[in-house]
Amino acid sequence: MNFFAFRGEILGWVLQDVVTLFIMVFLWFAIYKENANAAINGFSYPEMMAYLVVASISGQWINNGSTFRSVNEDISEGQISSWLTKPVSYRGKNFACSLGNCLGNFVLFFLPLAIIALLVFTLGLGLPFPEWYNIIFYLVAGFLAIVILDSLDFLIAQLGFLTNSLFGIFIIKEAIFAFLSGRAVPYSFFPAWAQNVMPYLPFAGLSSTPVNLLLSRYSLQESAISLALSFAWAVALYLLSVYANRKMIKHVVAVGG
Amino acid sequence: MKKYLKLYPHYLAMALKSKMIYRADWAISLLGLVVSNLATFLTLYLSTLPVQSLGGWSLPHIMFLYGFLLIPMGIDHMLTDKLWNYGGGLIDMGELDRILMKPVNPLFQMCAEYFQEGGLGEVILGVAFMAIFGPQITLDLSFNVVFPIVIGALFSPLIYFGIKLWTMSIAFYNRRSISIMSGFYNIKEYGKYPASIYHTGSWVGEVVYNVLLFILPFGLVGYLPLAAQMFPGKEIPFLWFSIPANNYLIMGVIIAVSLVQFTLAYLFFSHAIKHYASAGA
Repeated sequence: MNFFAFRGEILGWVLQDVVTLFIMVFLWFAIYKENANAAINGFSYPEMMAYLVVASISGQWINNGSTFRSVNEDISEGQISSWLTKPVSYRGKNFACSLGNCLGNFVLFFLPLAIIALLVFTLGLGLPFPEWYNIIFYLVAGFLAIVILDSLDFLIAQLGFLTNSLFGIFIIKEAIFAFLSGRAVPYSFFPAWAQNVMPYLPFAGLSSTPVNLLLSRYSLQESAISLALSFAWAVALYLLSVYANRKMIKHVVAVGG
Repeated sequence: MKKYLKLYPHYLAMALKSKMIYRADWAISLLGLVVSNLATFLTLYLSTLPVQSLGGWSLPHIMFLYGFLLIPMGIDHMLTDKLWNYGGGLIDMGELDRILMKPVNPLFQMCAEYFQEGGLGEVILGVAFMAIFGPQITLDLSFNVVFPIVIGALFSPLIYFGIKLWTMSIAFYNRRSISIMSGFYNIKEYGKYPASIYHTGSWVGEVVYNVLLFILPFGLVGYLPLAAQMFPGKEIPFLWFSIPANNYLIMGVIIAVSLVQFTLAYLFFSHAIKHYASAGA
């Protein structure tokens, strides 16, 4: 509801997305114009555009959790103690709210954008339609991405006990995630050593894995491996965040609430 | 003017003291802008690496441009970052009442109250990029080239400032304008690439190119002065004609556009602030 309170604001966010999209199209157009070969690092121009557009609109639902912000507010405004009196797990409550946010954004923003993008890329630029199993893989990978991201957010938000400059941390986090998850440039543009390492890090699950699955750039075997890796990271990081939650509660009590 | 020059050190000292409440904050916001610029830089570097050049600019040229650009951008960040908070809800909270009560220019107060040390990080990073990539390209370091570029760069923070100022002023009507601010401000990302890549021959490219030079003149900050430095004697496309790559001519254009732009922004600000009505108390 807060979101709809300032309707003029939506206009600005849309403008920002349009600007980003425009820069992307121009930049890559210029890059491909320099190149006599049709493909660069395994991507033709339409494939590159599809990769970047899917990565960016996927962010509309995957990247829209509320945990980082709400944990921060709870810490800096001292609301945490009141949450602890309620008979719900603090970590669980945050995850549930975040998931709700993500699903809401999925319906409100992602779906319309995805349909437009699908029509542009298949009918307009002649890329193949994704198969039904690609879509299923994508949705599963997207859900795992939310779990990974939400857990990382929860862990990073604990820094709120040490500093008040969470905007700074937010900027650092966003920049690092966008780059390491392959949202800004696909992994095949990275140096060779990094290409071998990146798929095994949790960041791959945030963007690279779901996008590559949807665009069916992975064989069935590769798909299974990448989904398994995302799943393993999701479980591991969620458990870690639950552990951090317990630690945090003790810390808060010690401070005296 | 003298009064403001005297006042500024006091405001700055106050802003720095309030920063010291949390020492770690300093390091973090300094690091924040450095890290995010490094990520953008790496993205740009990795995507250009396979082709080695863009719109006639080689990779080191583009990286040098990026470094050069960070300096005016960082200066603006340091001095006027508080405007973001005014666009983002401070007006709602009645902050403006406090400011309008004092017999000092409201815009001066709004900016001087805060010092964004992250901008310092950007300036340092910019110098570092220029030091790394400068030796890889041929630079003309004679006085008649460097002097107009430096003078132009002193005026170009006004471009960022002006755009933030008029978009923020919308908050006097709307109470909040942060998304419009960031929507327009983010167009600065276009300026990070040599504007010649937009000049593709299609009318869309033509429009983007000229908007970047005149309407939202982010392209003036880095592209234009460096184009003259790197490609002396070449013509630079300009509206529907082209101008010779003369450093003094370009300095004149930068000064004129940034002053006009800032003056218009300030006039709008002065007009819009009258629209503000206090909640009372």
